[in-house]
Amino acid sequence: MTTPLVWIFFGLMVLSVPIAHAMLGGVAAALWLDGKPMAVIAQRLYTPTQSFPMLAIPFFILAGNLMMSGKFGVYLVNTARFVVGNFKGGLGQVSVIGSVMFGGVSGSAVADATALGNALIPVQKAEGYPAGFSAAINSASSTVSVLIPPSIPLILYGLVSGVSIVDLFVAGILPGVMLGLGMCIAVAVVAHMRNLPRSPLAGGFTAFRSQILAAIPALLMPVFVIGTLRFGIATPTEVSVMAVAYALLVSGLVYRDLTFGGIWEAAVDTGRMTGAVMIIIMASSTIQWVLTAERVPQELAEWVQAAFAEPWMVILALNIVMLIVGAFLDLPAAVLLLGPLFVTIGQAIGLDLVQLGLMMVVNLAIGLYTPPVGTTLFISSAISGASIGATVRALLPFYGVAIVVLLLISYVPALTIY
Amino acid sequence: MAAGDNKSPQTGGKGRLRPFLGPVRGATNLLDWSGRIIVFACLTSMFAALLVNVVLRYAFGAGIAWAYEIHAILLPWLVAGGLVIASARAGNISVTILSDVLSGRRRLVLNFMVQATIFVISVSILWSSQPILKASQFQTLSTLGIKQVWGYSSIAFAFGAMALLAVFGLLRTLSGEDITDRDPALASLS
Amino acid sequence: DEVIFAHGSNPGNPRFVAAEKWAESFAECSGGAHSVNVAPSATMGDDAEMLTSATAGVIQVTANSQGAMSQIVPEIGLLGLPFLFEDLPTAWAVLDGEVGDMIDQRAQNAGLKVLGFWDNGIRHVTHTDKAVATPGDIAGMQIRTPPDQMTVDIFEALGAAPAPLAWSELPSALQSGVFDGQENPLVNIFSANLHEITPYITLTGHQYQATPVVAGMVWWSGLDVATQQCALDATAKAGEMQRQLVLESDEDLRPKMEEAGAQFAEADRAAFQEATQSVYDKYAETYPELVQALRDAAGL
Ligand code: NA
Ligand code: NA
Repeated sequence: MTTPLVWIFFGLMVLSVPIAHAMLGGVAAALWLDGKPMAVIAQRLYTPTQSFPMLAIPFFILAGNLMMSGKFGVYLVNTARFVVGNFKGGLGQVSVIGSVMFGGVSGSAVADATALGNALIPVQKAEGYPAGFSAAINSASSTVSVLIPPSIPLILYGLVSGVSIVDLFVAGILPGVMLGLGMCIAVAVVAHMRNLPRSPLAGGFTAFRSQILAAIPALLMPVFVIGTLRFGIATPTEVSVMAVAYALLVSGLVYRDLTFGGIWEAAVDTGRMTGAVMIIIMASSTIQWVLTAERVPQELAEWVQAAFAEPWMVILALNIVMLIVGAFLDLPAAVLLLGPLFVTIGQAIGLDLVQLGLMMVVNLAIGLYTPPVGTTLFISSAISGASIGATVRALLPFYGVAIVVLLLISYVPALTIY
Repeated sequence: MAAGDNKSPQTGGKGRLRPFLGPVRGATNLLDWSGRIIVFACLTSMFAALLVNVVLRYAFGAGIAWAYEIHAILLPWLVAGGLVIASARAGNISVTILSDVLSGRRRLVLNFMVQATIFVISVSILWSSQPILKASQFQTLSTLGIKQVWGYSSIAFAFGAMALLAVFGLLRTLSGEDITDRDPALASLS
Repeated sequence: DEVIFAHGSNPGNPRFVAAEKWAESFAECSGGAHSVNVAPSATMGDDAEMLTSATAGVIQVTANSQGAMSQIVPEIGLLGLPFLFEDLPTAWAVLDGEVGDMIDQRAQNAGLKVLGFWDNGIRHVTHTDKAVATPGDIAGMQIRTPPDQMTVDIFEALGAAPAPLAWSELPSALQSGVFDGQENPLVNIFSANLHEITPYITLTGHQYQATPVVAGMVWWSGLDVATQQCALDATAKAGEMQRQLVLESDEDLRPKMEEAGAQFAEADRAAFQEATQSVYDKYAETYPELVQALRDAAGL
């Protein structure tokens, strides 16, 4: 069944059929050709919706949506501006530091690229930043959001691998900070070469004090999330619900910009994103059924072990496969598609599954700003008006930083396993 | 934004199909709205149940048993509602390289093929889900006492709606409208 | 024809071993007309989903759970009445008799044929920091239960604060202190390493659970009488072995867990029985005859 499944899936995907439907088409044809009951599709589609931990996904998306719909973004940019605005290329640094801070509120890189891109790219261009460079900073740095907890891709990996979401969240912080720092260095180098201006916060410390006081309640959200998880106050799903309550409180009591219309929009958008991501989880669950029935993951793991003599070669091979897949496929879809296979391979070579999870997310996040399909790349180029080509050229130093971090995560277990 | 009001046909629509376009847009809008109402209802009730449960558990040491079971019905419906919204706005995750390099008539032909494929696949899943829907009539959730078929029927709703939306997409494509012209942020969840 | 026999257990579990045995026996006595594909480790879905699949004909047979089955045939849940069976052999005698036949009748109306009953074992309570020898020790305890009304009723009757939680979230929830403890058969406690987080294991034996082996009615009624008998025999034969393995594995597990630091304690069974009579009364309102029959059979 596997061969027709794979061909039909790829064929339909190349023809621009939505990925979930491409998967389902492949599975349906494979089952039909094999004379197996097609009712299994509806059954397997339903399975992921019965998982209680899965609820963390809509609630973390909702918490981020609620938090970002208000004035928090302005305070956040001003706070970052006081901290790093004084450097050459200050607004570029603000974009990176802003993404790190933003990452604690949102689990999604797209939300970050849209919100910070709209706030910063026009100002950067007015200060003389080349449009491509502005887009490059925004598209690369926004991916830090998926490493700083909360993180939708890490939850998805946790669900497919059975690894504790708490462990993954904790392990994501250091790689996220490393990426952020590396990108700050890349911005600094380019800023000196191009002599980009400093952009300190007008009003100095007095202005900073008012801005940071307003930003603090929102900036405390990652502390709240990690704290409640780590010190055992609640399970990930419960924390995601409390994060929504927290976001409602902060925007209602602190920012005072909570309206029914705002809640309605945030909820509807959460539903749209949950539906679009869950249908892929559900469709992968039908594929997993076919693959498991034919023992594909085990056979693949055995083949990989026979083909590569050393674990480091396997890790390199996994990374290369992910870079290629990530260039074409959206991050959550790639995690779901590769996760179950990679977990089997990782276990066979004795790779820690938390480390594998971080390796996957760091790697596949690079795909968000590589052509031919890169979501943050497209969003940022569209906002700045730069061509994709110009943005990609300006992205070269950021690719370098990301690859270095990826290699460190892949080969230095101490960075992700405590 | 609904799909019906944020996109205008590239051409005025071919004469023969023009009378259909109004109703098609209206029906697309209606499905989009059904999705929005389902999503809002499911999300808010699950939020309320789980929050109350957490608070009760920490404040009084006793939670509500069904708070851990309510998602068994409401999460599938949240997903179904969200899927209908995403599909009504052509917002399902796809690899659009081919559709992006094509333009004009070729792009419309490709869009037509894609909508036809979505229709065929959605209908076959809808059709093949019957034995499962029948079987789930016998299952009752332990603490809530609700039949599982209420959850499973969300699959039928979602794929039925996607099949309908694909038919609408076919009609709109035939009239010359480019239904895949959309915001990249809407088509990704990264 | 290919017969899919699905279950949720991993290698090493008695159910896993028995499923292999079933496959072998059934292939043999059906004279090679059927080959059996055993799908372990919940690869065909969880227990409730496997039952749906069997009813719908996606799979043919499943070794399932009492909890999931009671969503279809509520009467089977009564086997989980508190402190009902003194020991496993008493439970077997009841299941292999009239009570078992009655459950089979009800299941057939819902599209499932009960081929027989294997064991899941007897459930015990584990706690993070104390033994729970008397009902007083359990009062106020935050205890995780499966989403099963009977289990919730038992612990509410004992004055505890039971809260159902997904099995997958249990280790992290216990580790983080969201719960004081949980309750499960020893084999589950051991396989998930729960004795390392909740080392105080009291042998309450508060609830018996069977592993009903069921086939989809559509498949079942399409078989000739000889093949039907063959499936029943295969279930009985594998069941005999499985029940023995469950007994032995409970005996094996205790020293293994003690080595890892677990503290075992006995419970005051009479006191617990006394404290949970209200649960019998509650279920006797809906199922007076069956509750009485179970009481009689168990000598309560
Ligand atoms: Na984040
Ligand atoms: Na890419």
